Formats: sequence, C-alpha cells, structure tokens
Amino acid sequence: MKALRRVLRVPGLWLGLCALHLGLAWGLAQPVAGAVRTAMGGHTWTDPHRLIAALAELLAQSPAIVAVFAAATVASGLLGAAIALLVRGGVLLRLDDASDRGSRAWAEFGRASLGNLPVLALIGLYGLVLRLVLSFVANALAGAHALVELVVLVLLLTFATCAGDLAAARRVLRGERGVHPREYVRACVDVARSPRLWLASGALTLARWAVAGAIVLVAVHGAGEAWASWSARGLACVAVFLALWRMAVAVEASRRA
Amino acid sequence: MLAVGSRLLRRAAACALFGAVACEPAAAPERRVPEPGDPLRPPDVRGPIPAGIKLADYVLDASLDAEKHTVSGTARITWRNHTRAPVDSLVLHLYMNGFRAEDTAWMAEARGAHRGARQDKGEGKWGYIDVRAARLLAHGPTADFKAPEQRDAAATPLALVEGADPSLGTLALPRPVGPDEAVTVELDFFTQLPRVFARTGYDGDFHMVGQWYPKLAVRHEGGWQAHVFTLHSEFYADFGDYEVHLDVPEDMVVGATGVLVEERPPEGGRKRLHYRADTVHDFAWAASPDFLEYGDMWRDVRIRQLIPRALAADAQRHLDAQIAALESMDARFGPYPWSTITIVHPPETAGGAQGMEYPTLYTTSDILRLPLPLRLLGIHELLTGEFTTIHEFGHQYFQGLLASDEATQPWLDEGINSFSNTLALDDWLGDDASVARIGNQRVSTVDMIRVALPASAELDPVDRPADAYRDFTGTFGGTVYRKTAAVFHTLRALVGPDKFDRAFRVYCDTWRFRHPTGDDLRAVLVRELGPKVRISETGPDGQPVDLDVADFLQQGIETTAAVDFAAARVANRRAVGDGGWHRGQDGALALIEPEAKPDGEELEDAASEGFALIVREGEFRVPVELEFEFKGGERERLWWDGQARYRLFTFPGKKLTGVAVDPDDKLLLEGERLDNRLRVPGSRQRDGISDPAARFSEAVDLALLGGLGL
Ligand SMILES: [Zn+2]
Repeated sequence: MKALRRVLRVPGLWLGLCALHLGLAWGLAQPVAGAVRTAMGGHTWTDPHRLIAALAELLAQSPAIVAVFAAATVASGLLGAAIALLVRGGVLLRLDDASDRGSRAWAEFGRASLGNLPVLALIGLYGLVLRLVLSFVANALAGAHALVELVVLVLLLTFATCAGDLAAARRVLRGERGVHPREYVRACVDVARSPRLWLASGALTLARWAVAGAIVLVAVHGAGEAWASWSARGLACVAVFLALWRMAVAVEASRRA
Repeated sequence: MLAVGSRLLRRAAACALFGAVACEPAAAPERRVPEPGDPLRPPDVRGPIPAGIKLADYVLDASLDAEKHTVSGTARITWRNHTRAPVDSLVLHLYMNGFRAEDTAWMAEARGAHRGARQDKGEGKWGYIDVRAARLLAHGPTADFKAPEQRDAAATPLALVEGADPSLGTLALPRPVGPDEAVTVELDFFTQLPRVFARTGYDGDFHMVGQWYPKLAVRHEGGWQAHVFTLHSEFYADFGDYEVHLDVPEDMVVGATGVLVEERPPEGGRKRLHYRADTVHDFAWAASPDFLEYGDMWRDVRIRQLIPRALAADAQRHLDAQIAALESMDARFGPYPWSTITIVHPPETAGGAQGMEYPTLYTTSDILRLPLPLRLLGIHELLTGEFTTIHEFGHQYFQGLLASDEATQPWLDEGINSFSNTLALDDWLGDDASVARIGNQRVSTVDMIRVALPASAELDPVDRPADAYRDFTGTFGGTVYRKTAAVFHTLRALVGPDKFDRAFRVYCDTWRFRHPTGDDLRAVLVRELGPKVRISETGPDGQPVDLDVADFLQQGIETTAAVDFAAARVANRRAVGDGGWHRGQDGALALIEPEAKPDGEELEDAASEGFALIVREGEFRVPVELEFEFKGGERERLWWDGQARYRLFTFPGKKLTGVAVDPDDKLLLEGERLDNRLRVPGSRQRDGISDPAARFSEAVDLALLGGLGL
C-alpha cells in the first residue's frame, strides 16, 4: 500500500495526465465529427439506434471518413505510447519524491523527462525485444491450445512491463546508467525473483487493460449517447491512475534493491 | 437457395481474438416425432389441390455406395402430354453433369466456386450422371408400374442423347405421344456425387443427394422448356407423385422429401427405405450416420430436423424459426399442403450444401458461434441461422407450391420469397424486426434489404433469366433477392398492407400447384388492387395523387431505374408584400413604402415564406410523402406524385424549420436516404450522425490512450 500512497500524494500529476488524455481524445475525435458533418451537408438522420444502416450509406458515399477515423485511432495509439515515454522520467521522479518544490517543480519534471528520454527509449526497445521473445516462448509453451497461449502470453507481457518499470526507475532515481543490456537483464532477474512485485505490477497492468476493454464495451453499448462518453472519460482516468500506481510499485521496489 | 455466405462469417469469427474461448453449448437431447402416414395433410386443412396437375410421376429405386459416393438405380417416369400437340421425344435434365468437367455451362461461369465455397482440388471433386440404358415401358393408357420390381420383358430399348451441354439429354420415342396420352419410360442411371461445394454432393459420411436422377423438363405449348444448368439457374419441373426406394448402409440416418412408408429390417449391413411424396416436383434426400433427430409438430405437420451432434445445441432455435415461418406463411399465403417438413443441417465442413430448398426438405445454415468478447459487445444476430431456416422454408411456397420457372424468372422464387421472409420475421418478432444487434444499435429486416440496393441493383433489371446474370457483376443477390423484395414491400406500403395482402393472397390461391409467370403475378395485382390506387385525396395543388400499379411494377421489375428523392434546399425568404406603386380605387397610382425589415431567418413569421425544393434524383417515378416542419413545431404532410424532376413547395406566412421526404420510410426501394431530411441553414438541430461518430471515436481513442499509454 506504500505504492498507492505515493500516487495519492500527487493528485496534481494524476489530474494533469487525465486532462492530457481526455483533451487528446476529444481533439482527435473532432476531425471525425467534422468529416461526417461535411458529408451530411445539412441533412439529418433521426433514428439513433439505426446508425449502422446510416453509416453503411454514408461511408459508401464518403469513404474518406473511414480514413479520418482510422487516422485518429492510429494517432491515439501512437500518441499514447509517445506520451508514456515522454513523461516517464518526470512521473517516476514525482512518484519517488512528492515534496513540494514550488516553482522548481515544472523544471525538474521537464529535466527528468527529457534528460532520461534517450535511455528510457532504449529500455523501451529492450522491452520490445523481450516481448517478442516472450511471445515465441508463450507459443512454444502452449502448443496448439490458443487459450493456454493467451494466458501465458498475458503473464509474460505483464512481466516485461514490470521489468521495464523497474529498469526505468533505477535509471531515473537510483543513478544506474541503464544503457547496457546487462542492467535490463538484472531488472528482469529481480522481477523473476520477486513474485510479489510481479504479481502487484501484473495485476495493475491487467486491471488497466480491463478498463481499456470496458471503455470499448461502453462505447459500443452506448454508441453515440452522452452517458457512454462520460463513462468512457471516467474510465480513462481510472486507467491513468492504475498506470501511475503500477509505476509507483516499481519505484518502491527500486528502493529495496 | 440463400445467397448469404455464412461460411465466411464463421471463418471471420474463428479468426477473432479468443477464438478458442467460444463456449460450446450443451447438446440438446434427441426428440423424435412419429412419421405421418400420408404425405399430404388432411383434406380439410391442406387447401385445394387442382385436378389434372400431376404430369410427371416417378418411381425411383436407388442404392447408395457411401464409400464411393455413388448412387445407382432406375428411374421409371410416367409423363402425360397436356399440350395440344403430339410430342415425339422427351427432354431430361441431367443436372449432375453440370459438375462433370470444367467446360460445362455451369462450371465455365462458376470457375469452381459457388457462394464462397470452392470446389476441392484432388480426387472426388467431379460429379456426373450417366444414363446407361433406357426403355419404353408403356405408351397410351398408363399401366401401373408403381413397384420397381415389376418388369416388362417386352420393353422397347431407347437411346438418350446428351445435348451440347451435358446437363440436358433427349430421349427419342418410337412414336409421338398424343395429347392427353401418357408414356412410361425407365432409365438405368449411375450418379457420381461430387465433393459438395454447390448444393449437392458428399463430405465424408455426409451425403446430400439433390438433382441426382434424370428429371423431365416441362413441356409448354410449342416446345420443351428445358434450361441448360447454369450457375444461377435453379430448377423447374412438373408436379407428380414419387415412390422412392432407397438402399443405404444400415447406420445411415436418412431424411427425404415426403414420408417414410416402409422400412425393411436390415440385411447384410444395408437397409431399404420406401418414401412417398404426393404432388411435388422434385425429390431430394440426405444421409449421414452422425445425424441426431430433433423434431416437433406444428398442428398436424411433422417437423423433422436432422442435425450433426456438433450443432445439436442450435436445434431449438431453428425449430422456433420454422414454427414461426409456418404460422406466418400458412396464414398469409394459404395452407401448407404437405404433412411433413424436414430440415437438414449439413456438417460444418459441408458448407456448400447449406441453404437449399427441395420439396418438403431443405438444408439450413449454422448459427454463428460468437467468441466471448464479441458476445460481450452485445452482438446478437438471426442472419446466420434462423433467417436461413425461414428463407428456405419460404421456398416451400415460392416455388415449391407456386412452381415458377426458376431459370427464366428467378425473381419469382428468390425475390418473392425474400419479400415473404421479411413479413414472416415481422409476424414473429414484431413490426420492423431486428435481425441483428450490436450494442445499442440494430439492423432491421428492411435495413438489410435497403443497404444492398445502391451497390447492386443498377446493372440488371429484376426480370432477367438466371443465366443472364454474370458472376462478375455480383448483382444477382442484390437484384433478384433484395430489389424484388423492395419492389413489393414498397408497393405494399403505398397501397396499404391490408389491401396488398388481400391481393397477394389471391395470387397465391390462384397459382398454387401451378406454374405462374411474372405476368401472372402482375396481372393479379393490377386486377385486385385496381389499375390506379388512390394514395391521397389532396396533393400539392389540391388534386388527388394516384399510384399507377402497372407502371410501378413495370419500372420496378423491368428497368434499372432507382427510387431516389432528395431534400435539396429548404429556407425562408421574405413573402411577397404590398410595397410599391399600386392603383387605388380612384385609379391613381399610390406608393406604399414598406418598413425596412430584417431578411431571411430573422423575419417574423407572417412576413416570411418558407420554401423547400424536392428533387427526384432517380429515374423511378413514384408518389412520395413529404413532411414539412414549421417554426413552433407544427407539421404538415402531403403527397407529391413524384412525376416531375423536381418540385418547389412554398408556404407564405409560415416559417419552415425542416423538411422530410418519405418520413415513414415507405419507399423501401429508396436505397439512399441520408439526403431525405434537411433542416434550414443555421438550424441548431444536430445532423444525428456526427455527434455519435465523434463520441464513438473519442471512446476508442481513450481506450487506446489508456491501454497503450504510460
Ligand atoms: Zn432462396
């Protein structure tokens, strides 16, 4: 629960990241709305529960809308990954030490983020390689059974996330250089040796994915309705909180080893 | 037959995430229902069967080699000449020869594929029928040759000559068959079934035996109506009685046209079954050792389902759909005359056999098994299973009972049947029934028809022979099935459902057990509805608006004209005022200088004039209803005859806020409807799609940002 306390001590960080996510998603959706509005040309559709038929006609006439939607979707995925990398250093710093720094706070956050960016990117790259290797391992372990493969894969991917967090925390907070693969491997070994750490971080990763899945469910079950939009936004904030909590778990672990 | 490729859907689902998590529902127990004694329902409920319509009786005696997938036997055919001229030869369909080689008419058009199923490579993919001997048994008064054991030593040998396409053969007779005379011939045939990819054939132990025996063409005045078997053409035959003796391996569960009247005790690992069908025009059967039986009764009609073990859990859903179809169609289109209906579920590996109709027997398709994540999205659909069941049962009427020529006018069976399917679904599930749901969105029966129209209905008119549709155009399904359905749904909505249903029932009653043509259907409708149907007493100029039924049907069936109206412009302008120089009563000119008033939307109501421009963008001329909405919420509806290219509607002293073309969605033929509703410029009313699209897009973006971020 020490990790949770670390997150609760920095509500501003959480709210700031939430605002960033919500703003980006809203902004990315506006070109979609604009493309549809233009295609509709002042005409209206009145049945909110028969949008599939309307969209079938609209998209056949204006296929560009599909491109705009796809571009927004891809952009949100890429932006999500980019933001994660960009603010990682600063986020780890704030989670490690929540003391009030007054006007220096932004400068320190920026320095920690940008100063560590190249190495954190490298650690991210190691993580990608590890994920690739682990997916082969999952395939080999599971044999032909898709369900077993999926479970193994999920377990191994949460492992990679946890190891990446730990390596990043050691680089940003504990003065490791983090460049040599050996340091990354050491983080992996430490995670493997500490099932409680893996369990805590993995549970939080899974919870975040579940929340992302819940957003999709809400979007489909309440397609076009205001309640669904607000629920999606609320769930997105929960996802951000869970991500911070998971990183705080790594911060806590980096103090021990 | 059904043109929806459920195999594709199934494959897509199998590829979806968590494919293996799809729950296998528990198998249903078997439920057998006793065999009816008579192939027809009791006389008081089966409806009238006209006399003298049975022109082709068959006694088939056949044996299945389940290892080699062959059927060999004899076909004893008695044919009556109902035309006014003598006939010197019989023409027979040898449908199985369509699958004999790459250069048959069927294969040349299909190129080895049918509705998404591909002809397998390797051995056993070809099918053929070889008539190895033919004999004349009787000529003149019909002798009783009902038992296959009866032999006539004095039979005259005949020779069957295959046509240029081997799907037809001619049997020259020693002397002509005069009017009202009958002739009985016997043919020894050997049929090799193909590995199934198009309706008929085998897959492992499963055998779907359709179009498997030499089958007479239909003699019209002036010649045989015999069509070469081609990709889209189905079948056409005279009614008659069938006595069919099947010799099959003992472990086979068999389903067949008609009723089982005798089953001899097994001998040497084989059993002999005797089926009887009364007043039908074809006979098909299916056999598999893996079939479970799950049946029920609908009133006095026995429903028998044969379903592979793996699919048994879906049996009840199909049964519900079958009962719903019987309820609806028996009431709407006249009594179902036969005492039985058999539903065959081909195994999953034999998708090519799915969705095909034969008298009192049809094959349906599997219900799509959705993986868990898709089920969580609230996806529910009737399209892959129940819809096929209803569609194939509908063919018992169109063309099992109203036996139109499917090769010459495929719209009379596939199209009219599709029309009837929507009515059956609505009778079952309520008006404008949903056939699919995803989350809070639904696809209704009419949506399904409508979305297919713009893409597919512009190249070919509805009334074309099956072989005129080329596979390349991909228009067969959209035109024959869905545009036909749209034509009749639109007509029904325009003249009123009750009035239409009464007229359509007259068509069904008049033509059951006969061979109606498109002209026959159109003639009944024009006669029963009247040449002109009053749609509205007061059109835009106070004159009545009528629908010319024949003209509507001519446009809908014979042309590619599309129904398409658009609300092109709606706005408000200054009404004509009284400013300027006018002569007063004294004859002198007097000037009235009106006050400077704001323009456009700022004008007060009394001084403004709403106007709306409605354009007929499609070539199809049909009356259309319009709804004008005025400031304050008042609405006014009127009908426009839709004959001119456009029409301007003005409302002095009233301010329009919007206009809707066809507000009640009566014109199902109109595929493009997004331009039907228009608001005045500057209106704050939302367009209804951009907001939901943005909300959905935003949520997906949030899921990705939240899922991939940090
Ligand atoms: Zn069909």
